[in-house]
Formats: sequence, C-alpha cells, structure tokens
Amino acid sequence: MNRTKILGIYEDHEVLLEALDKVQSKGFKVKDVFSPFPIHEVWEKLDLHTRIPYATFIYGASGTAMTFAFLYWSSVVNYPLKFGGKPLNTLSFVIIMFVLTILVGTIMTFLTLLWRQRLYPGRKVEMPDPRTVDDKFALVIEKTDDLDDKKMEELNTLLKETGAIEIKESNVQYYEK
Amino acid sequence: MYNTRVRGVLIKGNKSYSQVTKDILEPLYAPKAPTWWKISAFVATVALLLGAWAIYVTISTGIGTWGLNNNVAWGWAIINFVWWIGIGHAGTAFSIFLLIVRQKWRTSINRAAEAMTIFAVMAAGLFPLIHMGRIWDGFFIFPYWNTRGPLWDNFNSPLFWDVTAISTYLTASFLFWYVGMIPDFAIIREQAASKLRRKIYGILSFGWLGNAKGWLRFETAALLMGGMAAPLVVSVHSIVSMDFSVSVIPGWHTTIFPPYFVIGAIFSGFGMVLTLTIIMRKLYKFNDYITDGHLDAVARILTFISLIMGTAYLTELFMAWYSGSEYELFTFMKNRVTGDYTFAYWTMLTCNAIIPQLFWFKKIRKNITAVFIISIFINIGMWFERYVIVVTSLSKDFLPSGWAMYKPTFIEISIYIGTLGLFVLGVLLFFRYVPMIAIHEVKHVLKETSTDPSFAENNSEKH
Amino acid sequence: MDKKLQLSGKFKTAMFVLIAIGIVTVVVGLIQNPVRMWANLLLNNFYFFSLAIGAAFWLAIQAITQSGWSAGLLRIPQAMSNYLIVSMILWALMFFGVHDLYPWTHADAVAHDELLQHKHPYLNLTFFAVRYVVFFLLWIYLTQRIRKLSLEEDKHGGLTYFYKIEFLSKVFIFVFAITFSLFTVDWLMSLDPHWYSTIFPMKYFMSSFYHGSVIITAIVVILWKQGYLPFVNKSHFHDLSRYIFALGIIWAYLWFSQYLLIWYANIPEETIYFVPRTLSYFKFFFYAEVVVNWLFPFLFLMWNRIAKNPNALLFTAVVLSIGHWIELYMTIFPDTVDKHYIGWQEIGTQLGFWGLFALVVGWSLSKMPLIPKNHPYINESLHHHV
Repeated sequence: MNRTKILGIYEDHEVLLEALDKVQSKGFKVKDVFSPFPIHEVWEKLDLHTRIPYATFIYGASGTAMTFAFLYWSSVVNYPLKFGGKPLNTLSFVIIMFVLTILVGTIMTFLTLLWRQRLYPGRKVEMPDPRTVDDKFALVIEKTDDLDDKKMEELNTLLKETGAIEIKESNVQYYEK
Repeated sequence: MYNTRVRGVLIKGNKSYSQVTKDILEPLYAPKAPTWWKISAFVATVALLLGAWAIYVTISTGIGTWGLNNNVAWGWAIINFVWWIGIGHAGTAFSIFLLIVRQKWRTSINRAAEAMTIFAVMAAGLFPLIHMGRIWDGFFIFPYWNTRGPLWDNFNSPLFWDVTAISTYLTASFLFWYVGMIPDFAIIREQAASKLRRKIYGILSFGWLGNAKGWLRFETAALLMGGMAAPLVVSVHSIVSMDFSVSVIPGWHTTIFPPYFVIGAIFSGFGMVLTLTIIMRKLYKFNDYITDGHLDAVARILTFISLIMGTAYLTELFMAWYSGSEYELFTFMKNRVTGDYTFAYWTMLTCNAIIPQLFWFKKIRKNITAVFIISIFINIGMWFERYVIVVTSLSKDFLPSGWAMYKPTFIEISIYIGTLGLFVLGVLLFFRYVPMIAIHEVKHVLKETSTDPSFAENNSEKH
Repeated sequence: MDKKLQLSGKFKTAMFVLIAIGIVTVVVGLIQNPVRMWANLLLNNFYFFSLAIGAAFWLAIQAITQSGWSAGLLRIPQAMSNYLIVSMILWALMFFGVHDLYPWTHADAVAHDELLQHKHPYLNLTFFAVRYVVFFLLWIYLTQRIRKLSLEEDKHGGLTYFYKIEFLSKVFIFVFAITFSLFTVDWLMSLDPHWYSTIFPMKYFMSSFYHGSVIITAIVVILWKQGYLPFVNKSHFHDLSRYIFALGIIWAYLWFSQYLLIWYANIPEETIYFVPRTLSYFKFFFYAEVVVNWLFPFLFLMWNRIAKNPNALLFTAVVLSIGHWIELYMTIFPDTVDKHYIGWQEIGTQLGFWGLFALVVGWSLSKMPLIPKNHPYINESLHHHV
C-alpha cells in the first residue's frame, strides 16, 4: 500500500546521519533516504542488504560450467580434431573459460542490477524531491495510520531540531523494494 | 580522517555540492561547442576519412597494399593493435587497481580514463579485422554451427583467445562505464533547461532515483563488475602477449611476456591518461578537480612502472645471455641492441626506461608542460616497444636467406592515422555529451578531502 | 599508545624448544643424508628470507602509495624485515652445501659442458658469493634505515621523516627488483643450470610479497587477539584479506603463464623442467601447489563475511604458510634430491626455523613502540572505516 511520505530535507550528509539516529531512536520508522551519492552508514542504519554478490557468484560459476561444456562437447565429442599436437581436452580451455566467465558474470550482474532496481531505458520516474540528485539529502518517513496529530507534531519538531531545512509531504510513488 | 595537510586537497576551492554539479556540467550545457572543439573535430574527421579510404583500398585490393612480406607478415597493423589495446588498459586500471590500493584521487580522472578505454579498444579491434584480408568472412571467428563438418574453431589458437578476450573487454568496460554514468545522467534529467536534453538523458538514466536501496545495489554491482574487470584487464593483455609468446620464435617465446605486456599496457595507458587529462584540464579549466596533486600522483606511478619496465628490459637481455641459446643471443644483441633496428630499440629504451626517470625530481613533476612532454614520449616509446617486438623477431629468423626488412606503406600509415582520428573524435564527443568527471564519486570524497579549516587546524596542532 | 609488546616466558621457552628441535634435526640429517638436508636448509632459508623481504616490500608499497589505513600496522613488517640480518648469517652456512646442490660448482661438470662454460662468468663461486654479500648488505642497509627513520619519526614528528621514508622506499623497490631477480636466479633457478625461464624471478618475487602479506596478517590477528592493537577493526582485516586475495590471483596468474607457455611451445629444453614435477612422485604436490596457494584463498576469501573475520584469516594464514612450503619444495626438491621425501627432517627443520623467525620478530616488536604515533596518516589508520 502506498502512503503519503514525509520528507525531511537536509543539506549535509553528516547532519543527515545524526538526524537518522535521533529519528530512529524516538521510535519513528525511517523508510528511505535519498542522497546524491552512496552513504554506507545509511545502509547499516536502515539494515539494508543485497544478494547481488551471491547472484554474481552463481552467474560466474554457471558461465565457467557452460563454457567448459560447450568446449568439451565441440572439440572432444562433436568433431574431435587435433590441433598442433595438443590433446583434445586441452589446457587452452582454461583461458577461454576464464574470459567467458567474466563476460557472463558482468553482463548478468548488470542486468540483475537493472532488474532488481526496475531500471530500463526510457523509464519515466518522478522523484519525491528532485533536488536530492544534486545537493540535498532527504529522510523519508512513511505517514502510517498510527501517526496521529500529536506524533506528527513531535516528528516535525524533531526533524527541525536535527537540522532539516525543509519538511514536506509527498505523494509521489516510486519503486521501493 | 583524511589528512589533507600531507596529501594535499583533492578538490580545491571549497566547493558546495551544487557547485560541483554546475562546474562539471557546464561544458555539456553550453549551447555551442567551443571553437577549438570544432577545429579538432574537423581534423579528426578528416583523419578518420583518410583511414576509411585506406581501409577501402586494403579490402578492395588486398593486403598486398601493405609493406608486409613473407617473413614480416605482421607489421604496423599488429603494432598498432597492441598499442591501442595497451592504451585501452588505463581505464580499468585506474578504476580498479587504484580502488584496491585506496587512492581517492582516482575519482576525478576515472570517467575520462574509462571513456578513453572504450575508444582505444574500438580502434584496436579494427586492426585484426582488416588484417584478415577477407573481411567478409570475418564471422568465421565465431564458433557457430556451420556446414563445414561442423568444423569448430581452433580453441588452441591464441588468435581465438584474442577475439574472445577483446570482445569481452569491450563489453565489460562499456557496461562498467555506463553503470557509473547512470546517476549522473539522472542529474541532467532533473536539472537541464532544455526539454530535449531532459528527455534524452532521461532515457539514458534508466529511471534512476538515488534512494538508499538503489545506491546499495548500484555500489555492490559496480564493485562486482569492477572486481571482475580487474583480472580481465590483466588477462586481455596477457592473451595479446600470447599471440607472440606461444610461438617458438626467438624474442617472442619467453615466459615473462604476459606480465611484461600487462605492465607495459598500464604504463602506456597511464601515459595517455596523463596526456589527456592535462589537455582536458587546460581546455575546460578543471584545475580545481584535476589538481597538480592528481598529475603528481600519476607521474609518481609512472616513475615506478618505468622502473619495472627498465628491469624487464634488463631481465630480457640478461636471460638472453644466460640462456646460452645462439638464436636468442642473435635476436637481442645483433638485431635489437645493435643492427638494423638499433634506432627503434634505443628509442624504446630511452622513452620508456630513461626519460620517465625525470619524474624523480619534484621540479619536473610540478611543471605541467614538462609532464605533458614526457607523457608524449611515453606514448611514442611504447609504440616503439611493440615495433621492436613485432618486427625484429620476424625480419631475421632462423633462415638467413629469408631475411627481409620491413617498411610500412602509405596505406598502413593512413589506417593508423584513421584510428587516431577515431580516437580523438570519440574523446571529443565524450567531452561534449557526457559528464567528464564522475559527479557522484567526486561528491562522495568532496567533504572529507577538501579544505576543511577546523580539521586542518586539528592536525597542525599536534606537531 | 606507547604500549610495548611483552614477550611471555612461555612463548620464549616454546620457541627455544622449536629451535632446539631444528638444530638436532639439521645435525642428524646432515649425517644421514646431506643432500636432502641441504635442500631442506635452502628451502627454509629461502622461505623465511622471502617472508622478511616480502614484508619489507609491503612496507615500501605502503609508503609509495601513501596508504593511510595501514599506518598503525607498520611496525610488524618492520620487525619482520629485521630477520634479514639473521637470514644473512644462516645463509652463509649454505656455502658449505653448494656442492651438494648446484651442479655448476663442480669443475669437472663445467669442463664437459659448453653451456656451463658459457655461463661461467656469471655462475662461478666467487661472483656467487660476492652477489650474496652485496645483495644482503643492500637489503639490510635499506630496511634498517627505513626502520630507524620510522623510529626517529616517533620521537620528533614532522614530515621530513615521512618524505625520507618514501624516497628510500622507492630506492628499495628499485634495488629490490633487480637484486631479488638475480638472487632467485642464483639460488633457485641455477639448481638446474641448463634451464631458464624469464618469468621465474617474478613468480618468486610475487610469492614473497604474497606470503609476506599473509604472515603480516597473521601477526596482526595474533597481536589483536592479545589486545595489543585495539584500533584494528573489520575494515583493517578486510583490507589485509584483500591483499591476500589479490596477490593470490596474481601468483596463480604468474604460475599459469609460465606453465602454459612452456606447455604450449613444447621445446624440450624447457619442458624438461616440468617432467619430474608432473610425471613422478611429485605429481600430487604439483597440483597441491596451485590448489592451496590459489584456489583455496580464492574461494574462501571471496565471501565478504569470511574476509572480515580474524579467525578465518588466521586459518588462511596457516594454510598458506603450508602452501608456501609446498611451492618451494616443488622448486627445490625435484632438482636436487629427485626423490619425494617428506619426513621428520622436513618437518623438524621447518619447525626450527619457525621458532627462530617468531623469536626474532617477537623480540624486534618488543623493542619498539607497537604503534607509530607520529606517522602523518596515523589518524586515518586509527579510525579506518571503509
């Protein structure tokens, strides 16, 4: 379900990190953070993880296996032909396997990134606050039902206290997972 | 905890985040390209056309238009191929190797270096294609289900490894480069004044948002792709070296070739990076981003690599003697150090191992003109290295009656000029249409590495 | 910050026991089968020498790349490079065994061999000894000078020492590249004086850097467990393991380059090197060398969580120190004893050298402040975060 979001806009990533701590310690659930560059601490604080490395490992391993299967099949099974006195099942395979492992791994990792993040050429998006691509940092808190007026006020003052230059609400929907 | 007092400031001018965006995107937003840009683009196009004509002549008439002969069957084409591939190593080397040794200064240069990689590899890939002679049969190099048996490719052939490695390298480095640009395109999408620009860069930005999970996946994927590109970069030039070293020709068959080629490639790549960044910084006034400190760091690395190159040359000579093999001795002592190709050998040695030693002096490292000139010398020296390797060993081999000298024809030279045009044109387009410096990476290191007065004081108090 | 390492009595006793075991093994071994024992001594001498010089190279690399993260750990490679002095003395003993190991030292062999005559200007005992002395003196001078400058820096601070160290490191790398290459040619490659391979010195150079880094990592983990390096965190471990991971790949690359090119060209003069190694009792170790030194760390340290875990790193270090032994075993034994031996001689000698090495490094560490306090990047290291 998509809810309205409350955005606290900050100007510095260190200020944002402190604010993030304070907001979280007061029991508010921080949904997301928008920033112009990756901030490692944010991932730790929001407890975000990615399984892309495991995927890459699988791609690489299957790339090696598939390449070997093809090379073995084509030069030992399908049309066994000696080249330069080398054995049919030759050491040269290692080189081709190595390179193609990387080829498969790279392309598939790239595609996985696009797929997991729902990125594709020409995708139209609206940003909750476009300034976050440039020099602003946004703390996103979902406006859940248990946020009554009193809590809202508390959140507003908290954001202000922690250095937000602006607090706004946004109904923009984006892919959050 | 970045010590700016010793390291110097990475990004000068105490910039704000939005200032960084503005500075880097300014040339891209400029309504008209500067005059020097138009002139160089014109010259590059002329060179490219000359090359296209030469390629046309080669294909329509045949390889006989080149200066090759029975002995020297590989000439300028292979020299230039290896030379361009070598230059194409800098991009990945910059991004990955410098990441591994935690060199933060790479952030202002890596985008340009990676762009250079793409165009250099494209220029390189052209040569083996033309060299086939019957370019229309070029698809034979792919292992596809054919009607000849099916007779598969010779997987033992280093030429086949070459095809695999270079196409993989081009793909991988392009994807790596592109991934890095996605967040920067998103900035243009959100900020550009012109609607057309917003639209085009919007398409290119793939709908990038910049939320926490997005950045996490982005960085993980980029790191993984980079991590895979690092061994790839090493393997590509090793495989190029194997074109030579798996043979039994003296001067070619030597086990040090793979690492020696890789180091040479990184050397020439860094040389070209230096040439290019000095030009870029001069023309676009990026002095705050590509500071003297950046150039100094590249120069230091070049000194170091130059020493390794020198050691490798000496090792080769020593081993040629130590082996006691008369053919090795002849190739090195009578056909390289002395003999018909003395000029090429000593140019190589001077440009690669001796001239870069001037970088030991701080005065020379600080003098940008001198650095620029030396970087040109490195490019020339590395070209001659390939010349020495390719030509000398072939021209005088085991059978003295077959010895022949090699001289390039106008056609071969024109193709080379054409690839130079291709490279320059590619780089010029990159200057005009792509953010030249990785904006988000610079922002990442901006705060901790720029002049922060309070931090500087803290440090100086201690001493 | 001024905390120094305290060597416990137990540690010292244990190390002396190991040394005693080593001495007994060497003496008995020399009486029973001198060739085998000399090969063992060469192996172990080279083993620990390359750890020490690899550590010195690691130190120099940190200086020229101006790495900040490692500033707090510099004392460890400095202490390891101290072993070079001991190594020089132990190496002098090798001259009593040259006739058992090196065919070119026999005048009659040289007289009947054209190739050896050709190589005689280089491969003769006098020049051989001169090179040994000059190389060791150069290494010892440079490493000691770097270590002293670093200690001076602790006392006085300022940037002069830092720049001096950086300059000396450059000089060291230059000297090292040439001298180490020749040194491996002298002591390892000339075991079979007819055979040559240009990548050979580079492979051992990488091996020493690789295994040197491994031992540095092991010492960091051990000291950290004892509470001596409180600032060390996951990021440091990650960086150290990244070194091991990357160097392991480079090592495998050099190994493979050499094997592939010789296999492919198939010239008898060259392939002869691999004949005893792949077709006889050594076959198992031929594969073990690659599996232990490359495949294991590659598959193990690939995983982020493992790469940051100190216990996993310690385990890797143990496995790789066996790998280093196998590598040198495969280099030296097939050319000298040409029979596959692993028995109490091998194990005893290795243990004795370990005792000595640990004692020298431990003692050197206890003589200087464990954390350099005036290194300009020390703060980057103390608060290192990826």
